[in-house]
Amino acid sequence: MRLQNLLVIFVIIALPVIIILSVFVNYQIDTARLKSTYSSKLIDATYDTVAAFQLNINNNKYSTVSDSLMEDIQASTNIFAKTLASNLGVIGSKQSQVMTYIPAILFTLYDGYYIYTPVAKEDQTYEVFEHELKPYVYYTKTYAGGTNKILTINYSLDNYVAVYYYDNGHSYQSRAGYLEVPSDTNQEGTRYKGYTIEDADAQAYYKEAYDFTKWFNDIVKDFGNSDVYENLYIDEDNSPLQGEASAFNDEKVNVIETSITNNLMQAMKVYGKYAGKDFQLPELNGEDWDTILNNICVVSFMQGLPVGTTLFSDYAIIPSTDNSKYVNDNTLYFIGSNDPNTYHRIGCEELKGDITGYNRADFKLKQLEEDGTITYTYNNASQACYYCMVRASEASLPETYNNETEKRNREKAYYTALAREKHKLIKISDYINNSDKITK
Amino acid sequence: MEGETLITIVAIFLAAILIGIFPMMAIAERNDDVSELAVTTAVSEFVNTSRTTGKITTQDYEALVNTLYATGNTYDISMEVQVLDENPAKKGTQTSSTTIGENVYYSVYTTQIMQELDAKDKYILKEGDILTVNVSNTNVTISQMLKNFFYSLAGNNTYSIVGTASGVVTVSGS
Repeated sequence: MRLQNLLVIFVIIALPVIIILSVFVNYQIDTARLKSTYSSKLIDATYDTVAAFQLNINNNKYSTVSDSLMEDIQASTNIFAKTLASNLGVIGSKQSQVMTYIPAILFTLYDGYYIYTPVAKEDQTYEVFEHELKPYVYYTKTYAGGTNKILTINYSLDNYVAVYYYDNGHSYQSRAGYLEVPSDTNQEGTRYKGYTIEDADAQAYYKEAYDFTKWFNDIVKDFGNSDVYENLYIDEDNSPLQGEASAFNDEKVNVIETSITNNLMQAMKVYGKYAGKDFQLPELNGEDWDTILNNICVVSFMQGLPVGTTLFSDYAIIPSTDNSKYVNDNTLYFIGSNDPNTYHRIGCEELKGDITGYNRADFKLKQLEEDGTITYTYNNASQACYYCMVRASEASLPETYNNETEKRNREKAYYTALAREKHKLIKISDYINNSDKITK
Repeated sequence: MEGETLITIVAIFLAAILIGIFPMMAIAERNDDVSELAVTTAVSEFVNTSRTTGKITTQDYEALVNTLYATGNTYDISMEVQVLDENPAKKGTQTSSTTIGENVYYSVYTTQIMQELDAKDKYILKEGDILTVNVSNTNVTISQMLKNFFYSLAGNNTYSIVGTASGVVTVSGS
């Protein structure tokens, strides 16, 4: 066979292979780029949802009322649908189609969570699925103890718990409050971890926490379940404070993770069965759970959107840091007597003199309505420190305090502010402390 | 006779190109495409993780670097954080304080970010900052080499693998 013939045969065989391979790889790259774009758009839509959620609850004085809070969250989900559809370039009546790829949106709040998911609704002739906010689920677990003893605990993101105790048919007690290691404080709430607490609200917090923890420990002791006693009895070796390594926190995390995981899986499975798709809860990693367990969050899941030869599946977790529902380290800012017009993070080098801590929400612009007139005001009009707020990465870390006195000043301010702000928060579960059926 | 020899020589030359060099170039180019796929995905993940956690960590950066080098090339990773300068009344870092105002950004680049990572293992971002990461290869890939040789189109300083991602930071880190 002549060489020219061989060449022609080679070209006929090899050229299509090379061209097909080239097109395929380019297609895969386009798919990867598209997936990356979709991930960003999902994050952006979720971020907008959080922003809307914060705006709604911060300007709604009734947001502690369950029904009103549901309305706020429902409104936030509308923002999600609109933003996501707009970001994906879908306009008009087709916007609702985008939501068919959203098997669930999770709103984790202080002591429970909402799941926004499609639920079956009976139409005249056939069953349709529409997204709906399912009832509020508390981070709760019921334990069985000695004879006919039942203990139900509603956990929260921090050290606040609501307890319902049924004792052998004889008594029923329910109470809610903060847990603190009793030896860290005293009965009057005037001392905490060696610091004298002077603020009245902070004192009230520690006083109530001391009293409540004593009651809680008595219940746990009396309950007759050794596992419960080991995990939940609060003492120096078992701190209930957020972020501390302890059996109590392990149990709390386990309860929250299990509850959220099971309910999300169930919601996705039901909708997947209806939609004929294989919706599955993705495995959230440790950092994801860390974000969820330490913040009020919105978690959105997007699955089944066709991208190239594959289906797009991703999720976005965005914490809310600007709300009046929850206080933690990141929501406290501090003002030093050296510059009362500037607020700082606790580790800022510019923070000097007598230090007082405030809730971050105090520095935000607030809308007030009186007799139909709307005015805007600040609880505290101080400005953010340039070094620790604007150039966040350059602020000193708390462990770099210059000396012991400075360290003690800041720790005292921190413990006082944290206690005061926690005490001021309104909790839904607080009603059981005022209920007729309560036995204290 | 002479004509036939000439045709044979041309045929051999064509054969060499078609059988050897053309497939080699095609495969080399696909190899770069596959590398770009990995780079695009890794950069996007890095940016999305950083902007949703509010910090660039050494751990995430090293994971990005490891993924990039697994493709067998060397890369230049350039990062830029556009810091939202929201406090114009306070001290400015630029020569003219009038250039800083509400919703004005100033930029921090790779060297400064790496210094922070070396010192503190993390670079803290705040809500509203913008993170941009560009990755491009610094070595000359086989595909580039062949292109340089045959086309003389691409200079040694050009790159063929590139990945870029950016986004607004959604949460202040700590």
